[in-house]
Amino acid sequence: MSNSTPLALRLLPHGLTALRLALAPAIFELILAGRGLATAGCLAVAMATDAADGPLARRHGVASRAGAWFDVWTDFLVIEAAFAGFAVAGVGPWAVPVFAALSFALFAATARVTPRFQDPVGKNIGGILMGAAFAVVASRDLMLAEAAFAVAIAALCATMAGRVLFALAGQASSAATPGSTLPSIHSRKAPPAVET
Amino acid sequence: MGTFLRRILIGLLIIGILAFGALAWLNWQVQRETVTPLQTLNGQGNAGRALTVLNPGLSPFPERIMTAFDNGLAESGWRIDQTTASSETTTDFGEYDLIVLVSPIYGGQVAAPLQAYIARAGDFGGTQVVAIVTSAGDPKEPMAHTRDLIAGNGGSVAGIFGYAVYQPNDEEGNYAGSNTDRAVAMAHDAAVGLVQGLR
Repeated sequence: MSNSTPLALRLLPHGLTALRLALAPAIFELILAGRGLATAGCLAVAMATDAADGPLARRHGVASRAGAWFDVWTDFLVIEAAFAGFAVAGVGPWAVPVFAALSFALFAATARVTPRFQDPVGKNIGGILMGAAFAVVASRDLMLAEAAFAVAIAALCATMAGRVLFALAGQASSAATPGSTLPSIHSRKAPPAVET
Repeated sequence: MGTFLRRILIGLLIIGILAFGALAWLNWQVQRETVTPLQTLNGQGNAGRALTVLNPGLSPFPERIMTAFDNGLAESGWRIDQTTASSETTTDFGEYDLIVLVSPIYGGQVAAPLQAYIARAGDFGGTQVVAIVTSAGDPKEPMAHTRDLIAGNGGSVAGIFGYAVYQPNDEEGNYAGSNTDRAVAMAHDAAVGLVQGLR
């Protein structure tokens, strides 16, 4: 962390993540209320903050493991809020929030044994799921909304299957290589321990 | 920034491939007919007799709406025969006082099996028709399109109702619960109101 960086800039990445966290309950309520456009607006802000907080943290030298986990948990809660909202409203499958929770648990459990796992879907799963939720409410078409749910389920299945297979196949060799303990859905990586 | 852009592009590519496959599969699902035997609700009802034809679509919402509407008819003393839209759905409307068509809207139109049924039914033997559509956004345009479709085939439209999933159905706040719960309650009350108007 650079002492010359103004406090406001050092707090900005965490502030953006906190803003995203604050949007989670609003997203849930807006979906139940059928406020599609407002939900799309909140999800757009969530995606923008998700894309910006990591690079800002690195640029200002405030990237940390705690910040990365804050980012991961916030992404998870936003995703759960959105897809649980769809499911509670009876317009989306419960499979997405359930698989997202399983996937998150799996990432956390296997991050140590799969530090070098090349998983483009898992690496972008936060963005993919938030994008899918955005597409559901912004598309204004039931077919496209269903396609977005299918994309979310397929992406979650793909990354979970890949991670399980990799963890099972490469546990012994990976255990010998110290590496990241972060699940791959984070966007704010701690500099000394990043996934490839 | 190069790595960031590459991640965005990879993400978009993955989403594009998955979305294309999903759309192809969903389109096949929507075009496919669902054949179900007639199920009778309130078999002792003698105030009137309705045939409800559902195009189930991809989510349970249209069926929830249909069930609520039919319960409203049943509570008003009607007997209701329920089935799904297919090439095997009856076009013998002689014993019915009302035909109820229920469908989700995909691409601005009612799903293909119900469109085919409407074309096959023609003027529905002179029986009055009620159409109920469910849509993602504002249902007004799909409602008008569905009305034109039925009228274009000679059908007489007694009422048309539309309920949205991602747009508030109850701006006045007359009902409680989630947006979809309110739509279900509104469909029930729409049936009760319609029957009173038909008397």
